[in-house]
Amino acid sequence: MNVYDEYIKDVTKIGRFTMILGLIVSILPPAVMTWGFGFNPGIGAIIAGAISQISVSGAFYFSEPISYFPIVGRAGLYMGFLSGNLVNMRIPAAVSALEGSGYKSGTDEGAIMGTIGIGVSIWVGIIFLLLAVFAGQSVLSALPQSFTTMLSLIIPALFGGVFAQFAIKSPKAGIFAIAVAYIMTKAVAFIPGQPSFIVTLVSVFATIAFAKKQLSKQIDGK
Amino acid sequence: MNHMVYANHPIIWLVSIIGISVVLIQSILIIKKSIKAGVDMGMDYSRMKKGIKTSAISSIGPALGVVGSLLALLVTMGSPMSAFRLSVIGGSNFEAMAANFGAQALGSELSTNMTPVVFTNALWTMALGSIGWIIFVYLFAHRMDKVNNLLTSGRKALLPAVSIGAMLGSFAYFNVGNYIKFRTNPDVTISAVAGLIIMMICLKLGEKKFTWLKEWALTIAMFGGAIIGTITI
Repeated sequence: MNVYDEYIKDVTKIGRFTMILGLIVSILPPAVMTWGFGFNPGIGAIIAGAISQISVSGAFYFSEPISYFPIVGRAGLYMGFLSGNLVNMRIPAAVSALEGSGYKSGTDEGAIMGTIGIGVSIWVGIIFLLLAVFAGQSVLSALPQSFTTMLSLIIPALFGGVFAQFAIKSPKAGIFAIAVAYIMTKAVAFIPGQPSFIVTLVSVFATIAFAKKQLSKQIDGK
Repeated sequence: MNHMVYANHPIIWLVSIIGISVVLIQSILIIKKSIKAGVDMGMDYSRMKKGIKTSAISSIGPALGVVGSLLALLVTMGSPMSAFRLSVIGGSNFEAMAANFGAQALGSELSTNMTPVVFTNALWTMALGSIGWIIFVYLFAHRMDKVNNLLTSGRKALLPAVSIGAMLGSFAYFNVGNYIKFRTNPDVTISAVAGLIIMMICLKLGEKKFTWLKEWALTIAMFGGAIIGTITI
């Protein structure tokens, strides 16, 4: 077995074990409130709340790991979904790690570098969250309104930047992706319930097909 | 009785710290394995260090974005649970929505003055609504290589196209979502477009002359875009 396969085997062990730990620690806070402190909302209310949320998020449990696997790989899925904030933190960090190191996505080296980048972003994210928590509500609420507006606009600007980073490498595929995403967004608005996960799935897999065609043309042309 | 006594209770702090530790420990373990595997595979350590530095720098902006979500959550859910929820299977848009659904299930709503039972149900919805992701990943992540194989029809040389296609496809969708907000939230659209343009300029300039720009490009794009969006509206 080569080094990379061995590595993936180890990561899978760590990943699957920590998924179970993640499940337990997620349930812990409400469990402590319910049975530790004795504030039981009743099974009816617990299920009612969960069903409301699952009806919104349920489809994403499937569509997100499938859509993002080609980007972050197996190790990235374990880290990205345990920590969360995948699109706004983990993927940009993986991409930046590749940009800084010069390793290419889609190679074993690129996968390893992207995984390290995701791990780094987890630490940076948690450090900032804890700093904010300890800075205290009083300090934070004293911040001017324009500053909090600016914070909320970081993510849209980030999405523009990440898109640009890849569109610059394959402009045709970039334009194709925007066109498909736009058409799908408009089309899905007509479907009852507006299942937006379909937009992601279709634009991801249609763009993959497009990029693949271009690349194989390039390879065969040589 | 107000829920804040419990939201800031030492035991809830403890539970929060345990949960966050699991995430941190997992990432240390995987980072260590990755660096070792990389070195064994003959990857250049100084290039890896550059990658680490670049991802750390580029994570500052998104981290501040998450801090923005924290501020929104903090008032009603208290510090320990807000930090916990945004660190473990966290989602900036997800958390407030889930907490609200939980409160609504008891005919109440999220506020600074809930009963502890409403607070508990909000926590239940946040937990049960988010574990679906890690259950799916637990069950299927180690079987997904087949997906890549299928997509490349077995030709490994095509794998870069798969990851670039997936990136462009998913982020095109997020950007389109921001573009069509032009009438309702023009500041969002302006930030998205400005971020895109600034990034293109930084990468073009970073190609030959200013190679240091590459490390900072994404950070400049996200803050630049956000600031332009804030001041033009």
